[in-house]
Amino acid sequence: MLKPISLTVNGRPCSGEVEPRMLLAHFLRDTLRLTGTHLGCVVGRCGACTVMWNGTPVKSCMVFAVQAAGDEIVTVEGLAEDKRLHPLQEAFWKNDAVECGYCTPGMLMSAYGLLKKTNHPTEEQIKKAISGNLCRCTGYRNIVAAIKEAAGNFGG
Amino acid sequence: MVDIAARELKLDPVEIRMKNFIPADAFPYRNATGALYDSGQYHLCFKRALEIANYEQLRKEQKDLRQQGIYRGIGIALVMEPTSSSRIHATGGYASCRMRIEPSGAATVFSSMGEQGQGHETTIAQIVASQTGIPFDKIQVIHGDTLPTPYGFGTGSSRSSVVLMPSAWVAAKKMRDKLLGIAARSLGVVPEKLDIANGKVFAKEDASRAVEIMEIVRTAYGAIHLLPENMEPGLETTGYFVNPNIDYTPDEKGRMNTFSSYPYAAIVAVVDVDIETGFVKIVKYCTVHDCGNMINPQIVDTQQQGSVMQGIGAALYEELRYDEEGQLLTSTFMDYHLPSVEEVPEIVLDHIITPNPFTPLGAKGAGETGMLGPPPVLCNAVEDALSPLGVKIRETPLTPERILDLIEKGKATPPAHA
Repeated sequence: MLKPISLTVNGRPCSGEVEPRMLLAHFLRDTLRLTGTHLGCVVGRCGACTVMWNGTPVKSCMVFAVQAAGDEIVTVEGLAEDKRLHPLQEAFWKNDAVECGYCTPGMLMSAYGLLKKTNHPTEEQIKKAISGNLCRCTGYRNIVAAIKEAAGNFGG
Repeated sequence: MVDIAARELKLDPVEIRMKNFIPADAFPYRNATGALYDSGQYHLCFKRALEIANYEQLRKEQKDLRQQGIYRGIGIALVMEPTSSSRIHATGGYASCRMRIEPSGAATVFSSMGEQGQGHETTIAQIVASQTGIPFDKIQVIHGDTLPTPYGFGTGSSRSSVVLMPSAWVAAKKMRDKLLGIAARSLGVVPEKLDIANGKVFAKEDASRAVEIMEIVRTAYGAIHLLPENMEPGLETTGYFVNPNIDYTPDEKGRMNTFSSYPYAAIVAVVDVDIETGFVKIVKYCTVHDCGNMINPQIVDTQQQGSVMQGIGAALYEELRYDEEGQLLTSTFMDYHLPSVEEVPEIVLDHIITPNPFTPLGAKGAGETGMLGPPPVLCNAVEDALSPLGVKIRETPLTPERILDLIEKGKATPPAHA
């Protein structure tokens, strides 16, 4: 049976009819066509599908779409404004923190969640914030460096 | 293997390596199976690794820590990665790029190899910019669709810097020659005496004699009566690069060289092993890498860092483990432990440069050497740490469970070399 849901995604009201078991990640990608959110393991380990749910980063493969009804979601598409890269994206680009790019949306959203809470995180806090996001290409060093750099330029 | 041989021969692990490395002046060096190592300075690379790790000091600290009951181990290794595999009907031994300068003055390059994050769009554009004078940000690289691009064998075997980039260089060099040829006629100076910089072709001896590249582009497309005799209109070139040092058939003894470059790295790793839990902590990982000339050092370093972490995963954590019924036990990231950011140790990366004599850019493969290091060097380090307990390591990954098992076994058989 389909359930109607309405929610706010990247500041815009969205609605759709979903199976109760539909994952938020699938709703974002397949219904709203916001394919910036990637799906990796679908068991909550790799973090590629991380989005902000009411201000907290969550793995959207671990949330049913119906659970997010009436709530606020920010996906990686919500970071850039007026076609200008968000300071975090800019820092990822400058620090060569991206290779294949599969983990990148999730990394960005976990980092965004951290910097929303903490203006000047320590290296330990950065590592903890992205410890649920796996990356096979970069070896993480440049990602940590990028988040550190962005922390100085983060407007909120 | 080398450490085992050192123990049997009662040689120091550093000494046995130094005695047996191929000397720098023996390259290109054909080994017993026919592989032709392009270039290298193994002694220098290894010495540099010992220096940046402060090896002597590490050995002293190790002694002190042993007395405090800390099982610290130091591993050393030199690893080499055959790159740009070239086999008949499989991996070719060549690559190609096609390029054109558009009437707008921008350039488009069509690459025969796709990329998945290796940075081809950047490095191809660097090469084309340096040859043709087209600004880097006006160069677009198209790949991944054989409708517009030439056919190729795919990115793998760390071949991009060894065949693809030289093919971009060949296409760009042909383009450069064409630009210089057109300019030569309009300036009345032979092409050999011309150079390209700042959007202009100019006479080396008198930079005021110059023609804008845009002017050359307009001539090539629209004023072909001004082209040198026998030159085709337009600005399109195709570059093929064929690895010149490949054997496609074996010699009478079955020997052949199927790879075109042999980058290598020297590593010193320091570990602490907790003998109560079996947990291996990497204290420090120092590596000196030689991939010849680096087209883009930042990309090389990022790939090295990632590659080392893949190797650490293989050495310590990752395993496709099956039960007796053949059931895969590590089928998701919950139980197949890919390293997270928390597992990243202090990694010191350094390079020496011995150019590959078989390509015009002097580059060797760069992407995979990093991951060959951790399995041998961490096994050597852990075996060194646990040598008082008679532990011998013959398989990876070195999970806590396996280490505890080895300690038990070691206790049962008294150490031969403690």
